[in-house]
This record gives sequence, C-alpha cells and structure tokens, in this order.
Amino acid sequence: MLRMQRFFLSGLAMTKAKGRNAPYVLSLPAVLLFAALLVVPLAMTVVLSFQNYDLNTGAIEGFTFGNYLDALGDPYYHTIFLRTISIACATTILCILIGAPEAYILSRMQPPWRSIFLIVTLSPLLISVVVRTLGWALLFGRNGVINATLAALGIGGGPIPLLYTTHGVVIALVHVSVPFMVISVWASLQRLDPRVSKAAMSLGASEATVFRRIILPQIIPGVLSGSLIVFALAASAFATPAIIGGRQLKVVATSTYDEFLGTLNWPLGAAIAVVLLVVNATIMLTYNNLLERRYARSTR
Amino acid sequence: MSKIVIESLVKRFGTFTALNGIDLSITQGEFIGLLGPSGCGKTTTLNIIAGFEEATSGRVVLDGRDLAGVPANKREMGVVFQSYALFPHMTIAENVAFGLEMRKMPRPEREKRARNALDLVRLEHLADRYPRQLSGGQQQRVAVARALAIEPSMLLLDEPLSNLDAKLREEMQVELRAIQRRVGTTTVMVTHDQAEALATCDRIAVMDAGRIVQLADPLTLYDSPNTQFAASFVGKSSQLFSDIVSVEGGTATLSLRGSDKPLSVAAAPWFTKGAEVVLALRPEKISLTASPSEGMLRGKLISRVFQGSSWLFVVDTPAGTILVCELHRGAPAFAEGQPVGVSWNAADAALLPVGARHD
Amino acid sequence: MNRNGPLALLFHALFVVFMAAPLAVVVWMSFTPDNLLKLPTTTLSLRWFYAILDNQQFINAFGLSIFLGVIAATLAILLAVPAALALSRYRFSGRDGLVAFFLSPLIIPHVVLGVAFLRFFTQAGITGSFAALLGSHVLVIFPYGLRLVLASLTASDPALERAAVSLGASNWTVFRRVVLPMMIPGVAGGWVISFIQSFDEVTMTVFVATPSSMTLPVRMYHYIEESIDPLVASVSTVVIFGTFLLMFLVDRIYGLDRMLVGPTK
Repeated sequence: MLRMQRFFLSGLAMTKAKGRNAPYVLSLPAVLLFAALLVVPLAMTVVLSFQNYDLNTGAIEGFTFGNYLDALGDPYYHTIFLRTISIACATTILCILIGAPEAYILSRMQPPWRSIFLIVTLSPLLISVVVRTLGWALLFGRNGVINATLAALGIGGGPIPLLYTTHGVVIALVHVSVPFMVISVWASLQRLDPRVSKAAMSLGASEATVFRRIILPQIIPGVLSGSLIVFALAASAFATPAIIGGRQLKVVATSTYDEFLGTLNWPLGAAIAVVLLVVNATIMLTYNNLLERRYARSTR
Repeated sequence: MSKIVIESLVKRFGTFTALNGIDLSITQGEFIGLLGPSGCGKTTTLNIIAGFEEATSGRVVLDGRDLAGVPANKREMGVVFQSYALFPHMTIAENVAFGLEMRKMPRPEREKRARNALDLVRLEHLADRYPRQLSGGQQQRVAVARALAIEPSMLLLDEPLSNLDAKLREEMQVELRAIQRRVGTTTVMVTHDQAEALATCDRIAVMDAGRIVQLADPLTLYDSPNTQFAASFVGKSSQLFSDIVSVEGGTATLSLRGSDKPLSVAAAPWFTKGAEVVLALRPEKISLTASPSEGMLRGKLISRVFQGSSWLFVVDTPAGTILVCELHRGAPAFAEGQPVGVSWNAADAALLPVGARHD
Repeated sequence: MNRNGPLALLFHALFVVFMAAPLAVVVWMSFTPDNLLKLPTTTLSLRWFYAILDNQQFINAFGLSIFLGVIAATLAILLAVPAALALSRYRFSGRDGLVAFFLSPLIIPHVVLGVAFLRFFTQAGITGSFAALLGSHVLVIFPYGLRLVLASLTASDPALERAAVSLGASNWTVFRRVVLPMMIPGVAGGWVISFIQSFDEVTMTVFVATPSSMTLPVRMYHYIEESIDPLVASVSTVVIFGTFLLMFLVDRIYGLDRMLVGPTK
C-alpha cells in the first residue's frame, strides 16, 4: 500500500488549491449514472415488491408483505429455493475440486505453456453464456454427442439423460463458473513466495507435506473467495438452467422471469428478486469480512 | 552571496513533525549532501525546495527571491529521482528534450541541446532507444542528463544511486562529482549512505529527526563530529565513556572508566565537574600493544575481521567496545582472546556530551 | 518451479477437453450439411452460414449488438477514466465506499438488475428504446472498464508526474503528455472487455429487450427456447471466431492474460 500513498502524494503535489474538489468533480458523471440507473431502479423494485397485484390491472397501490409471504412461505417456492441452493452448492464444490488443482497445475508450468493454457482455460469467459450452454445442450440430449458416442462405443445400457436434469445443469454451470475459481486460486498462488517452500524442504519436509502444510493454507483464501463468486453466480444463473433445465426445472432466476414476463405478477417477481439480492449480498459481504479479518494479516 | 537560503523550515503532517527548524545556506556551485537515516526529514526538505510540498512555516530563498507561491513547474530546478522516472513511452532523446519542449524551444535547437546533455553522460549513442532497453546505470545517467539539459539553477538528487549495485555506485559517485564540477550547478543530494556523502559532497548536513545535527565539510565531519549521533552515523566510531574529575581554567581532567590513568584534555565550555563525557575515536586513530599495561586502557581482543586492505579488531574494555582498524601488513600480531593495551593521541579524540542529539 | 507429474498432466488434459468440448461441438456442428443436428462425419458444408444471411432477425440482432457494444463501451470508458483518476490519485473521504459502489454491479445478480431496469424503464415509458438498452448496458459493463483502467493507473510510478512537473510542465501538460499516454493500454483493454461484456450480456437483457430491440444473445436464447437447429450453431460459430479475433487484438495491445487474470505479474 506504500505505492498508493506515494501516488496520493504526487497527486496532491499538483492539485493545491483546486485539489479539494477535483476527485468529486471527476467522479461526478459516473456517480450520476449510478444514481439514476442503479439506485433508483433498485429502489423502485423494492417498492414494487411491497405492492399488491391485481390479475386485471397489474400492480396497484397498497402496501403488503403478501408477496414476501408468498415467496418465502409457499412450498412451490421452497422447492425452487432449495433446488437453486443445492445446484449452487454442488457447482461450488465441483468447481473447487476441479478448478483449484488446475490452477495449481498451471502455476507449475513453464512460461510459454503457462500463458497459453491460462488463456485456453479462461477465454470461454469471453464468449456469451448462451453459446457455451448451447454447446452443452448439443452434448447432452438423447441423441446428443455424448450419448451418440457412448452408443457408438457400445458402452452402457441406453442413453444417459442429462438434458432437463439437475445433473446436466450442474455440469454446464461448472463449465461456466470454473474459470472464476481458477482466477481466484491463481491470484493467491501468485502471491506465494517459492522460497518459503524451498525453506521447508531444506528443513526436511517432503513434497506432500510442503503442499499440505505450506501451500494449501496459503491458497485457502483464494479458494474461499472463488467459492463466493461461483456460488453467487450459480445461485442467480438464468440462461444455463433455462436451456439445460427446461421448463420443468425452475430455479430462482427463471421463476422470476416467469412472474415478470409470464404471469405478469410484477410485485411477486420483484419480491423474489429482492430475496435473491439480499441473500447474495449477505453471503458475499459477511463472508468477505470474515476472510479479510482472518487472512488479511497473513497475505501481505 | 548565497545561491539558496533555507530559513527555519518547519513541516508538519498532522501531528507528526517532519522538519523541526532547518536552516541552511548554500553557495553557488556547492555540492551539499543531506545525510541521515530514514525518517530524518531529508527527502521532505528536498521536496520543499523542489516545490512538491509546501512548508508549514519558514522560507526558501533562491537568488534572493522567496520561492513561496512559486509552483514546482516554474522553479527551474533539475530533479533526479530514486526510481529515475524516465517516461517509458518516449525515447531517451525525447526524455532528455522534454524540459526544453516545455520551454517552447524550437525542435532543432532542443535536439542539439539534448544531444549535448547526453554527451555529458556519454550516452549519445542510445538516444533513440527506449528506457526499458537500458540498464539501471544507463537510466540513471539519462535521468541526470534530462535534469541538466534545462540548465537549471539547482540540481536536486533524491538518493540517485541507491538502486545501483555497489561497484556501479562507486563509479557513479566519481562521475556525478565530475559532471557537477564541469557544469558548476549548485547541487543538493539526499542520501542515507555516509560513504557516498563523504566521497561526493563539499559540505554535508547530517540530519536526525527533523533537525540538522551537524553541517560541515567531510573532513571536519569525520574528524570532529559534534554529537554521538554524528560520530556514529558517519564512519565507524568507538565511544568511550569517562567522567570529568575536575575543570581548571582551560584544562580538564577526565577519568576513563576502567582505567587508572587520568587524561588531561582541553576543556570545552559545556564541561562541568562530575558530568559524563564521551570520547569518540576513529578506528584508524587507535593503536594496540601486546602488553596491556603500556596502553591508556586495558582490554581484551574479542574478534578480528579481515577486510582485504585492512584488519578490523573488536576490543572489549571497561569504558566501552572499541573498533580498531590497521592496515593489512601480513598476519596480525594479535590473536582472539588476547589481552591488549589500547592507545591514541589525545588530539584525535572528539569530546562529546552524552546522549545529546541536537546542538 | 517443479514440473507436473504425468497424473497432473492427465488431469490438466481432461480439464482442457472439458473446457473446450462445448465450444468445439458447436463449431463442428455448424458445418453440418444436414437439416438436423448431427456431427458432420463426412462432408463439411457452409450452408448454415449462408442461411444466416437469409435470416433478417439474426442479422438485425447482430448489428444491434455490435452497435450497442461499441457505444456502450465508449460511454463506459468515458465515465470510467475520470472516475479512475479520481480514485487513484486523490485521498478523500468516502473513497473506499465509492470504489465499492462503482464495483457493486458485479455482485448484483443480473436477474435482479434486469427486473429493476424493466420496472424503471416501464415507469419512464422508454421500454424497448435504444436509450434504455444503452443505459442498462453501460451500467453493467462499467465496473469491468473501471477495474482495468484503475489497475493501469495505480501500476505506474508516481515520480513520473513529479519529474514532468519539475521539468516545467503544467498540470494539463502532465496529464496530456505523461498520464494519458501511459493509460492507453489500460483504456484500450478496458474498452475491449467492456465491449465483450456488453455483446455477451443475456440475463439482464432478456428482461429489458423487446421484440423490436433484440440483441444477438437474447435472440439466440429465444430461438433455442423454441428449437435447436444448426442455424443457431453457425451464428455461435461466427460469435466464437469474432471473439478470438478480438482476443488476439487485446493480446497485442494489452496482454490477454493480464486482462483475464489481472496485473499480478
């Protein structure tokens, strides 16, 4: 952070009299944008979630907790919330199991390969999730590539149903989310000092012990923050569960869509969205604070 | 007439006082060093002279003109930074000519001046390269050329050599001095390396905790430090504790701890009977004898360190630990653990008050 | 650095296959000469690529996505640069809060943003307009651009500006001749990643788009909802290769791994 302090001082050196207002003036346009297009819409949504709904006229005046009671009390939504959370958990666990080791393996590669495979692993992030999910839809399915290949090789007793199943959704979500896990674990691996491992080995530790006692504890913050990102992503995912899961397998995001553009019960849709937002934000912020406090001192 | 006068400079950052009254007068063409440990305020002083920071109180007067209110970009000072701060997206030639560009000099003339400046540091052949293609030492020289190209009224150097390795640093010290002599620009250099300051500066201001402890030329500073701090910061110093037995007229009698031989020295104005006095001695001014009784002090040789051209002996005595330096003329006569006698010329000892850090 | 053992390399190979499989399948499938989705095992055909040209909806959507992406990325960067300058070079009260505020769209689920925008635009009466689409996209991609520009600003040596000042440059000249040129790779990288995020955006846009203002991913999504045929695969292939081209460009200007992972090296 010393670098930041020196940076501030150099800025201060030049600003003198007008310095006081400069940062506020500079950030004003962005602040206005955010105020108009983030704060206001979100506030309106919260307000909407407390409104009544009439089948004929749509959202009408009146204050009610009814929507929240529906969203949180109705067993239909219970199923949806549970399904969403279990999908998100499964996705997160798989991402840890697959992404963390991959990040570790990448970090041990020699220069040209390392960059190449880093790009290979992460570039799917730059392609729309619709395209990626389409690929999975093509792979799954009774006549999809996977089943066709298995049939051609004569393996198994019939096609494996993956389309329209939660397993399929999880696999596709893992594909979409694992790059974030790799980035997160990679970042914490970059902060490792290789000489610490060498010191441990010189003191007699085996490679496995070095990994378990030296490296693993230091990358746990990366794994945890990656898990946060993956969980949040998977819990609020829309396109992938919609395409792979189909109309029967609803998750929070798709049922919100249904309420808004299907039954047009906007207040209820808004309530579900607010619940999703609150849960998301709470998880991220409290977990984040926990991480900061526990690991901040050791990751300098 | 002084080139630049710094009067009672004070700088506070909130509750922290970085400079506690700096007074310094520099003549034209002088090479002054600001020497001290981190946090002593030397860089803050330089920043105030340059105009990057404003003093809380006090003034800086350049050529008779108060610099208060003069912005940093109008002070006509050439600054060389510790990190060199060469503009990465410009060639070396463009870097050096930048200051001239700011002065709206027409292109042919500023290219010529830039080339002259690069010539001064013998890097003319690298004019079209980019900073990242140059070594650290070359970048440092370009930074100097860039600062000199504008023919500044003063040259300010902020630890310019600290990022270079030892050998290169020594070479650059000599070269820096030679360039400065040739160009004649008044120079202020900030450094924490006392050997560097001794080698390059005309006068050195030793600083500690926001104050100038001693301002003197290198020889005086080395031979006659005025405080324990100055004695130990510059060069190696052995500090022997003694008590004042009596003061009569211009002479005082000191009793060295652990010695039964009283010392007679010229009395300094601040001497009072019963007070403690520290004798500061440079290692090369002390000699050892194999028979302890012949010395002014008895001691035991704890270790000897071979330094190539010299030997360093560490001797333990009741008055304090002594460092003795002798030229290497074959295997030393003294072994570790041997009792030895320690002697020196009375005139070579600097007499310092105990514990005082400022005048 | 230790080498990876054969087991590790096997795992890695499987991982790469896993990551590449869906994209490879899409590309491969798009070359099928048949009417149905089948991996072409004998001949490759471009018929489904030519079919795109006959599909006005996809062409319009393509055009809209590109146009939207360019404008949105440009606007986002125009707002991000001064904000990044403010955040990186000044210490002021509320600075940390402001950073969190500007990065908040990253942690707000796009579903929620879609809902909020739909409500907002409906009340404002501008649903389906280009302005609505643009506004929502600029907000969502802004954090990506800001992050990159901020990273490139904080990575530079503070002494550089002081050096320019000491040589006689005015504040404006320092900005124009020293700060701005050094910011360019970061700004360019920020622009590209903003463009890509806008182009790819689907979850939020699905709520905000109307039949007359559909972006490509939303059009593709609705198409897939009805049925999956090689046409959408060929559109995807065009998108994939367009993205590869952009990635190549970014690598030249800024460094692709730096953009993806962040300036850690």
